[in-house]
Amino acid sequence: MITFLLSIESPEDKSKFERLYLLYRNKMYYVAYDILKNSQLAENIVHDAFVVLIDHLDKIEEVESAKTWGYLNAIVKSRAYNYYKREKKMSYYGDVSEELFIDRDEPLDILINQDIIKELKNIIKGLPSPYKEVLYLQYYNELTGEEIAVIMGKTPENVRQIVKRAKQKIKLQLKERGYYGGNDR
Amino acid sequence: MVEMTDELLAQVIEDACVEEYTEMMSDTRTHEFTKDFYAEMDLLINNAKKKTKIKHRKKITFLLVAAIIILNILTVVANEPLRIKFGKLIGTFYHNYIEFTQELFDEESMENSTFVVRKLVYTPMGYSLISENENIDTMSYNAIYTDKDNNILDYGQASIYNSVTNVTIDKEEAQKIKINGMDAYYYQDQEIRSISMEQEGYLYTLSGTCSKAELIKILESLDLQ
Repeated sequence: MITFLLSIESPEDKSKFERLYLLYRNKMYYVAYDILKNSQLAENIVHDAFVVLIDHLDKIEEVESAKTWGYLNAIVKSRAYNYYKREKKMSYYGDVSEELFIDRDEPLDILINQDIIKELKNIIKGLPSPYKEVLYLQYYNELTGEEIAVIMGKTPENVRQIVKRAKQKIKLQLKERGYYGGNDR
Repeated sequence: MVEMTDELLAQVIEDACVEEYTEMMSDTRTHEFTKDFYAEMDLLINNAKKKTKIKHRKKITFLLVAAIIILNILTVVANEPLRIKFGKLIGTFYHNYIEFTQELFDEESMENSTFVVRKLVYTPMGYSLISENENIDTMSYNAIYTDKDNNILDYGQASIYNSVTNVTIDKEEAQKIKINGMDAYYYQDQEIRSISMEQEGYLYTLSGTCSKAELIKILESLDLQ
């Protein structure tokens, strides 16, 4: 039995981390590059993202999956935007806690049909960072506010506000497209 | 018209995420990374491998210790006075333990019966058999499965007449659960989850890092009734 147990880990077995690196490094690079427009900085962001990932590998179930990409994408984007904000001294989504919020209910509180579902998907795909990434992490990756806060370098309260603001943005866009008919509380 | 619930929002978000993933994977652009980047990433990959190995060794150590304890107990239980004393010793030293009594079945009929191995019918996706041992003398069977991430699933069937009758739990108390209507016990030690159950004179134990629900599903696939 001992022989069998020790033979479980063969040298050919690539670690999950290595497989993630090989599959996604180029994709991650271009996500960072599209934000920073600088090759060296984009490489640094990809490296930083993998440094963060190494302590959260247990959150990755399958290497090749939309969930995993959503997770990696969120780490890269948050780091790229944080860098951008820090260097350019520009207002960025990370300051959402400083924005004025109307304390609305968390649920979208609307009635929908199949047409709206299609429109809703397009609206969600078009949401700016970090709203889209936080929604993905909360609803698809099923991470808690605390877990999202850790990988995105934010506070849990900040994450909660981003989710709330994301829902407000969705509601607003549905209204602009003539779909929203709920109570505008 | 339907109400926009969180569940529906989650479904739309999942669809959006999958669509974006498909679009992203079709992007074939490649970047020529610098040597410095490769050097730093090599270091990170080695660190990740070390961490995985340490974690994996912990799992192996746990299973080895469990296997050694069972082997030692098999020796002890061959001698009836020792078996009784050993049973009492476990009961005295450990606050939490589960007792699978031998009074539930007829030892004589057990000795004369043919040992029928109950192999796992279902294993979670990605797991494959790497070790299988059957011992007719001790009427025991053990199978070890692993997946590509080195998660281990350890399954054992052993005659209660020949094997340990107490399962000790260090920290949390065992939960009594039902597997196909039969009593079973679920317990956890760090990240290793286990279920033990007695049926017709055999003790079935399944341990692994997969979820409690998955362990239950695996044991439910056994045809024990």
